Amino acid sequence: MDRYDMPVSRLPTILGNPTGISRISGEQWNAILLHSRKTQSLGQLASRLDSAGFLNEVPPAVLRHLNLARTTAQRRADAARWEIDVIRRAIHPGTPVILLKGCAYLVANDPNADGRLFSDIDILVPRASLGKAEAALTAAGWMPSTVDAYDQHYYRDWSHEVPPMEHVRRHTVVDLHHAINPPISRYSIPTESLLEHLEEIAPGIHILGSADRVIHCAIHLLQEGEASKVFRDLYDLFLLIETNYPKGTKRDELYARAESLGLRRLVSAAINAAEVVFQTETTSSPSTWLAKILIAVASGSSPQTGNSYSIQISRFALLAQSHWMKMPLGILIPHLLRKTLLAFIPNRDPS
Amino acid sequence: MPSNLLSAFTLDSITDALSQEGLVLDVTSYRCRIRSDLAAALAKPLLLLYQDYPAYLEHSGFIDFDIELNSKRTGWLEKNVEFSWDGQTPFPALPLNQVHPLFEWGLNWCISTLAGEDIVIHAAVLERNGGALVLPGDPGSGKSTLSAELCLSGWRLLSDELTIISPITGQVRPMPRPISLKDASIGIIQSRFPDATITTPIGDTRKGAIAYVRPPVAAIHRWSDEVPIRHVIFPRYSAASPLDSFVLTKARMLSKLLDNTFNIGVFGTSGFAALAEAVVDSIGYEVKYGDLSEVAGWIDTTCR
Repeated sequence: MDRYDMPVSRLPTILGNPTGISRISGEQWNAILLHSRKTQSLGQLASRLDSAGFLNEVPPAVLRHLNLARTTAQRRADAARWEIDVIRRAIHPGTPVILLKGCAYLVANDPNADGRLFSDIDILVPRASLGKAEAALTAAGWMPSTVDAYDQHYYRDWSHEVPPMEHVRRHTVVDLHHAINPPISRYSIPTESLLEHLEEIAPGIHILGSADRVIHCAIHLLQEGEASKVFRDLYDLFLLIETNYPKGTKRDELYARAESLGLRRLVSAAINAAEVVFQTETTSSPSTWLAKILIAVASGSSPQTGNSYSIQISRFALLAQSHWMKMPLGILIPHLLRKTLLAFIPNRDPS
Repeated sequence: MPSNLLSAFTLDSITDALSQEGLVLDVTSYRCRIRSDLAAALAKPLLLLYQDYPAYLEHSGFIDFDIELNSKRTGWLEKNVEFSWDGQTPFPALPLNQVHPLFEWGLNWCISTLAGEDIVIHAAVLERNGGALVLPGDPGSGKSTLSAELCLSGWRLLSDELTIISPITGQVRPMPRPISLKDASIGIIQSRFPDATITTPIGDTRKGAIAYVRPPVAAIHRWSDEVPIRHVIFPRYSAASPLDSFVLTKARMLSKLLDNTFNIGVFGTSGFAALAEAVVDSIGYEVKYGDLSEVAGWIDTTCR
């Protein structure tokens, strides 16, 4: 697709530090809106400009698009709150329900939640309660997806979640987790350790402790390895850090916690990348190869920088890194071989 | 940037713009940039139908809807045209001769999904004596034919497809655009209004044969004059049927309107309340008819 002379998007700079809004040209707004739609962050852009007090400097024609994105996100958030309530009542009151990602931002009233679109409801329960929680959700209408025997085996034995469950009438999707990363992962995080630091937001509704939320966000973006989502995931991380761990405050506590889980290197690389992409004054350059890869992949989300050779290599490197994190080689290599070979068989019967 | 009406430009210069930097059109408050590798086929109907709209062949600045209509290989020998907005392709590709209908449908989609904070109802809407008449209806109900009939005989066209209501003022925001006529309606309107400008019909679209009527100039010029709703009529065309009408209760009218609303889900409770407020003083009818001039006459006397 030709984008002619469209200027490079200033989206990351504005999200990081929203100033000088009135000097943005119409052409630049075109690039910013295109970029933020592509990374699903238009509503968050609106929220960021609003909380910084600059929404009144946005031209009315642009504001119309920002407001719609934010309203859409707010309505989805209302619906998600309602679903969370239904889920809490469906699952045995003795089982803690721990909300993750989008839902956690929502119930914790984090700045991340305002304007953020999310679709799936991610919840974590202790491993011992997993079977009962799955049965309770099924009874409440969330049907387990029909996946083939291999995928079933993949989810049940290697993964940290059961296959996505979709509600028969409302089509909402619950991702039920018993851990925040795969138990077979070389960086496996024991759920028991997370349960010791929970914060109860409402009766029976919990979120992870604040350090663990940052760590989960960092690990999530590395282990998903999806280039299209890295930009927004880094922005989530950036906001969490900005809100809870501004430089010079409790950063040491955060890194100590990451160290105790054996994740110090990964977590600092992700935080470093987030601070470089969103250009906070305290950080200037990427410190590790992993941070460099993340930054390159995030910059590839801009329609203008799209598909350079180095960005493609970085995307591949991130994907490789994500698989390396998730599985020991003895499982990873046969798994990838299988997925690759199956990709060559057209219209495979899913059974 | 100085603006001209599209009629100030030649067909060749419009074709060049479409195939290169883009033709920029102001459709009410929305600025659209259109680019296409089927420029020659698209330029002609655009010039005919949009001649009274502000246009730019060179433009720099903010664009609401950046639209492309490009041909795409869909088989060994087959090429179709695809609509894309900001890189997204919401519809399946269509045969090349449908590039212009695809533009109209695509722009409807842009406006109804991205229209900012307004409520959008799938309905024709016209104005007379300062009051709006809303005509919701499924395909085949005759709402487009009725809006062509009414706007060519004294009513002001606000839209033949999208009734846009501001939740703040509760009034209709006009969206005058070309009126789409299908199958037999094309001949009926042509014979009743020989002076009307109508495009050459394109056969075999997914909606049957289709042609577009150029909207009256006055309707285009007055796009920013908002109008309160006075009447809501649910038309139902049935061949050779005598005219039959009945008044709907307010609750029934509101619930039928909600069924025709594209985006009420986005606004939740406040949208529901705003729509209820917007129609609280209107009268709703269901009208079954078989003859166009008979129902037009009934509307003229009933909706005063």
